[in-house]
Amino acid sequence: MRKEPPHDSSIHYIHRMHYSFQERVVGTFVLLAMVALLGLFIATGKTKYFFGDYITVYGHLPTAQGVGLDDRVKIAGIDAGYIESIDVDGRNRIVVAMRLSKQFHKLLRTDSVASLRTVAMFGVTASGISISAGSPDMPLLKDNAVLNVQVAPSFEDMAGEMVQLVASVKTSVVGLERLVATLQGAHLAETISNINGVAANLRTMTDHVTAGDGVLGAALYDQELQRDFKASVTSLHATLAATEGRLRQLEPILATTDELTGATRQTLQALPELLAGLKGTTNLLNEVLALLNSQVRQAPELTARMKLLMRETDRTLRAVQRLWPLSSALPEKEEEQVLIAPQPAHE
Amino acid sequence: MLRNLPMSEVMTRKIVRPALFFGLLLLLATACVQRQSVATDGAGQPEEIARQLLASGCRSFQGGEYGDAMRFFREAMVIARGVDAGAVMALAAVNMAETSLALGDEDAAGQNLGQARRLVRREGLAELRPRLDLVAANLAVRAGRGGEAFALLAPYLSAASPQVGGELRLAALVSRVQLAFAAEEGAAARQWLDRYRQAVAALAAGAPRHAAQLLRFEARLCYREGDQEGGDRRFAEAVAIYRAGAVRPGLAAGLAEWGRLLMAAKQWEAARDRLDRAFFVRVAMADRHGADETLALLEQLDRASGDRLRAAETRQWREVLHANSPLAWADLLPGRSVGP
Repeated sequence: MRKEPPHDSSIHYIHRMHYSFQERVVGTFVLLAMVALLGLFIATGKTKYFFGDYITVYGHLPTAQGVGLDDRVKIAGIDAGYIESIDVDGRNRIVVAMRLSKQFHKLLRTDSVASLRTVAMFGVTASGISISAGSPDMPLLKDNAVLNVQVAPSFEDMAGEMVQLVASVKTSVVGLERLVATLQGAHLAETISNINGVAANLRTMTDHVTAGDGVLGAALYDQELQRDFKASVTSLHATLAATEGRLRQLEPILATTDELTGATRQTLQALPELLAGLKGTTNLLNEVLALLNSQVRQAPELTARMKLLMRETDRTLRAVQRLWPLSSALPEKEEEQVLIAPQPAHE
Repeated sequence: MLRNLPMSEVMTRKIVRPALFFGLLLLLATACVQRQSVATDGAGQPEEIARQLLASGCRSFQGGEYGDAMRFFREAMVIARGVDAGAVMALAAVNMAETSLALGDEDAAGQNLGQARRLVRREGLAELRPRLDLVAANLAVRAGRGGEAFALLAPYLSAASPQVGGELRLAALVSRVQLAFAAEEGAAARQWLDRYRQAVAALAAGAPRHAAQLLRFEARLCYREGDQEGGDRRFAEAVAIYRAGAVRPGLAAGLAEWGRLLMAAKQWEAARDRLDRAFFVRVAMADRHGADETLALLEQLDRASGDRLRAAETRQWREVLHANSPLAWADLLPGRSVGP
């Protein structure tokens, strides 16, 4: 005959050695609920296509810089999958395997173009592969098809080009500065001073003629005027000689100016191209800012949803804590003090 | 065994019965969880959130973080007012009055006390009335209205007082002893101290705050009677108890009290040491009022000891802190929010 264990009604049910059938059943389901929660958690986020049909498309890349596993892949702007693997083929090319949801398969045609976008700014790196929607007239891409992935110029590349442009403009400006400095220098001042002297002498002569001394007679018989005239001629000769010398000195400078003008012209010719590059960079920047903006806009909603989720989780945890076997393991929560303990006058 | 049974029986045993069994279990578990969820529905409600904020504020107050405590209480008040939860609002108002007193803002304490009185009356919360009287008594003590304080404390000093909790009676006794000391009533101080000692002795173990407070009162009596050695020993014991329990308000008050008595005994260096220590504890608590009081004592000490240079420096510091300059406090307490 089987001996029944002694039943003492004074013992709290927590301290009993055996659990009842109902307790076991409830406990089992708590564990099952936990497993289900875990399953739901895994099934969200990155594995949202885990249970759906998918296709794999491969892409060849010249470089794997900025590409990471799990980076998002978009088809016509729709989040359609992620990068499953990154490998190197026999020709040392980077091969990325993109796992894409089958529901977007009809967008993938043989004329679809894939491009890699990597932007790193303000410490934020946004990267991913975008595939353009193909023409409906073209045949569908098959599973395991291969796409060439174009790499869009990065912000750093654009910035490098801008640096070259700025350096070129800087060289031109320095040359012009040198030219201006030469023209405004001491040599020019000396030449102008000499010309002024000649002009003064000529003015003196003119005064004599105006005074009625007779142009030729005065020139022949007035000793002072003669000396002045001789001095003027000598001075004019010297001035012309000096001017010739200065002009000879100016020759290499003018030649340099020619070179500078040529360089400036070349720079100006390259300017439209560089401006186009700058426009591309600006567009890219706008795209990044729009991306950041949309993410920032979503932040409050995300916070609100998180709050709701946390509240629900809190309720669920409280409910679970009251169930066996957790309820028997957790200590009773002490009631929290909501009123400050009475305080004496001077503390 | 199953080989001999008909197919339908095998199907029933293998599939239908387990399916029914698990279905039933699923139903049971769903009912259990749903019932519990309903039971915890109040968890995310505004009133519950306000109560949680009050609890956080009480914890901050206990740690001497008066500024943080005030922020919690204000937030709780706003949330409780939003759902017209009068009882929670009353609790928040009492806590705000206590915290304003701790922060040295008597005007705010008076306003909060008035609000608490209105709410207690409106909600009929008779159990909170003794607390309001105690806060009012403390406010009267601060304002130097001794007679009013005596009258307010009187009903709660007797052990036979109904509806008075042990903690409240102890706090009332402490305030009464302090009043006796302040009024220079030696005999009364001793008498009330004896009552306080008896009340503390009646407490179960685990009341270090009151044990330390008792030692501080005894130390004061020792100083008053010329037994400085005994007083120093008791103060040192009290400080050790506060330090072990990390009771920062008590630690700062004890050190400041000790420093004041040493100053009166013209032991300048020892007094400066205690007051410096009290000052740094109060700065760490972001207790502007307490820090200012301690600096005022230090300035007095510097003047009394003839150190004019140091007195000027202390005065300058006091002015900086008195101006409530957030920059000065930010320098003193990097990475912490200060003040209410």
